[in-house]
Amino acid sequence: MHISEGVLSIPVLSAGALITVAGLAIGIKKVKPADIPKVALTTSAFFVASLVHIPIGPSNAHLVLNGFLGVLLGWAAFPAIFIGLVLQAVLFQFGGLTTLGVNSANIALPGIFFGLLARRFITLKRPNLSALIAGLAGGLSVMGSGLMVALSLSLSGDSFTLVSRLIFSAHIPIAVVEGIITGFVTRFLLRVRPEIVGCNLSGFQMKAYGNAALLLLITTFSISLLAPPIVEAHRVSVFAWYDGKVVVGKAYYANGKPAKHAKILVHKEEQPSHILTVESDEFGRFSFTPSSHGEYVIELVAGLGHKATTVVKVGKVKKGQKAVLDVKEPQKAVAPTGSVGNILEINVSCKKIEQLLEKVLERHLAPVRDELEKLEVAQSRVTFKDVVSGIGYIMGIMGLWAYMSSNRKS
Amino acid sequence: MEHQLALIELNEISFGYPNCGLVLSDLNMRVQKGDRIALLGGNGAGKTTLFHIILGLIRPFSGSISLLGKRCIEENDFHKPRKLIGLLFQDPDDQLFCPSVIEDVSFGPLNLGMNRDDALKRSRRCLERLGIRHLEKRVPYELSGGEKKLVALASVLAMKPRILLLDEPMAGLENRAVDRFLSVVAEEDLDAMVIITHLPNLIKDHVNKTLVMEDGSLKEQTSVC
Amino acid sequence: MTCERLASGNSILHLADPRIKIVLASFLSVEVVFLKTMAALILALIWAIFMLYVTGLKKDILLKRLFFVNVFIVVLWLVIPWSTPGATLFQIGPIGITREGVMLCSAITLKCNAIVMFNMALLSTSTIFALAHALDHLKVPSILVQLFFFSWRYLHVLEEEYIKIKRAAMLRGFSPGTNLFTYKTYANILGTLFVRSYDRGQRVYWAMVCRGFNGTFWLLSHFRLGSRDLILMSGMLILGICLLFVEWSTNWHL
Repeated sequence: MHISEGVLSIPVLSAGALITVAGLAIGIKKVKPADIPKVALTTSAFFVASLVHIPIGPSNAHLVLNGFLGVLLGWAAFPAIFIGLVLQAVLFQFGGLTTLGVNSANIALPGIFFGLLARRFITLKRPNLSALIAGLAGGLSVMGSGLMVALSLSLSGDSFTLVSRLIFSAHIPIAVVEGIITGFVTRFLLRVRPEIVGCNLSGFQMKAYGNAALLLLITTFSISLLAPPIVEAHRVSVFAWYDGKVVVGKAYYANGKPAKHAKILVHKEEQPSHILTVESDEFGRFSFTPSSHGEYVIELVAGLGHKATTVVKVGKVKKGQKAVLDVKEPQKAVAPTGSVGNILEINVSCKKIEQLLEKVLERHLAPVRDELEKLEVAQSRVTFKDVVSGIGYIMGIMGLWAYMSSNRKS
Repeated sequence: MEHQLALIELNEISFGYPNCGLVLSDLNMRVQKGDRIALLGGNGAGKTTLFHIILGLIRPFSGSISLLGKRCIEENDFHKPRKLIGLLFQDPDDQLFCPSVIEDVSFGPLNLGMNRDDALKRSRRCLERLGIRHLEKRVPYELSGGEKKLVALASVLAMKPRILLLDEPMAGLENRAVDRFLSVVAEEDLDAMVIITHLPNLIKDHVNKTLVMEDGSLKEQTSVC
Repeated sequence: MTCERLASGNSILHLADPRIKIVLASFLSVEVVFLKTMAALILALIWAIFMLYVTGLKKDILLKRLFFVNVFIVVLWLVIPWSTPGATLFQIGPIGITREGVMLCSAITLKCNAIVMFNMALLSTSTIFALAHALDHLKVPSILVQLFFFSWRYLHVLEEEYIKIKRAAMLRGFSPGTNLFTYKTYANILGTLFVRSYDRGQRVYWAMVCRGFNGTFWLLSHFRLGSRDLILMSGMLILGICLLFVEWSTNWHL
């Protein structure tokens, strides 16, 4: 699946370009002058095959064949896929210059990974098992591409979360068809021309590291199935408190950015409809004055499907207010013991003291509230963690390649 | 002149493809100076394979190959003879891979170490002789089948080979093109030539020997077909 | 093959040196990606449309190409405006369209179309062979250029072979559907295609070896930079810098 021009963020584009330059360097090194016609012809075949419509239900899909290319060419699949994409960009305007890096990396990396992995188990002696493994690699490569496309999109901005999920899901049926076809093609080639699949004629050689690799294949497979590809990066949260007179609050996204100009509905206890609508300001802050005591449910609505609620108690003994009163009472008691003066005066000033204390406390509590607010924001900030785990995932895959290719050489 | 040096000598060559048994078995062949050979045989008899073995593109299971008086065993041994033996492939698309006709024709001369201008001059002369000078700037894959064949021949002749191996040169050519093709080949100053064909009648004036491939070996046919 | 259709023509852009065109296309694409203000993006799009106009290519071909490019963009428009949180612009039933979402989609649409149009006007107006030659002159690794070149050369041959094989299958009553038999048939067709491409790759290499190939590819045609090319290049660069000025001087951000 291509990502169009102008969609991805600059860091994602540059990362893709860098990966592609590295992949091309490795791929080109593996192509000797004598291999050029063969690799090039396979590239043309890949290009032609990618124009083939395969029916799936009422619709049809283009084959990607990145896993199959990985089986056939190994690392040389990188230049092959890159060239295929250049041709598509120039001839059909599918994709373009700036997305070339990301798109090549997204298609080539999973294909090479699963292709190289599958190649270790493809053998003339067990054509059906070999075909099954190749088919698995074909399907997984498409899923891997879908995952990387989704990752590129969701790393480019929170707005793409839903789109990336849709695109990832769209890859699932293609992966199934791709897996079936890759399996059949492999079996065909094993029967007709086994040397094309590069299988070792000496037979099934599963050494210790072969077993390890198989284990990894299964693990990666289950991870790619189980791991939710894109995480809730785009939740909204609302946080509010009652400061004695007004209810103040803040609306923000899970990434910590304030929700500007968002609509906030205020419900009261079990009343069916909301009693009040306010809008957040430039910093996501909002406030309203409650009309009476009771529990208020504050609902933040920001776009469809993005809702958050919080409950604020306004009332007879508000928690914050109670604390203030608790502190105040001993003060009151101390005063008379200190000076057995004019009780009336003390009584009069009592209200003043109360006001004064309230002010002081307010000043002292403000930073605490801010802290609380920040804490809440930090807790729901999921994107960063996901970015890290996504990068970890990629790094893991890369590490595996390094491991595989070093094994192949020795 | 009695004991002539064999230009191409194959002894006891055996070769086969996986799952197909032997295509060539104990094949012997001798091509001498002045030979103009028509090589006949059914489909899949191994004629093309034989050409590929002569030039060392495929290694036989057993047997020995001598080209221009020298035993050829390793890849390196074939480098020199390949420059003197021109092979015209059955499918011209296999041979033409450059962006323009002139570049395709001069690919060989440039590989022989000629400089750019000489290579161009020689290539243009070749095109001229085949009557396709006007195709010089064209893209090879856009040409018609017959034109492609002539360009492929030009690309072989531009190397000034001593021996020509032609694999089905007339297939897909119209009569006039066949005539031009054969007359150019006849004019060429060659030591020897082998033509694979299914149409021996067309070339009977140009050959002096007919070999038939049967059951993996060659038999000389004396009667005129 | 019809796919190189945009390359036929004799406008100033068709005749320009492909090396210049590759450099300009890269520069402009990267520049547009970096633009953030609407003003600059709209200007870039207008400029791209003007360049397409200069190529003198037929409108229906260009529009058809652009239509397919915008399919992905349409998907974005269907999803992003309501799934991006922000200030609600207007409400359609339960769905709130947000200002942020609409702005993001507009920016993407402008960027994508501007870049694609630049590429159409600059790259697609050259033949693949000219581009491959130009890449070679631009010091792109030779093996990559050769691969590019060969892939394109044999694309047609393989496409013809694919069509032949598929036609033969169709003539024998094969009708594709969603079933295992269809997939198996396609696999066999593709398998045959890969076998043929492999064999042909082998033969092409042999044919090269027979003509003395030893790893060197020769370049016969050389490009000459004309004064027209230099004018084109400098004009485009100045316009590119103007775009940056527009970008910096306006604050009509997303």
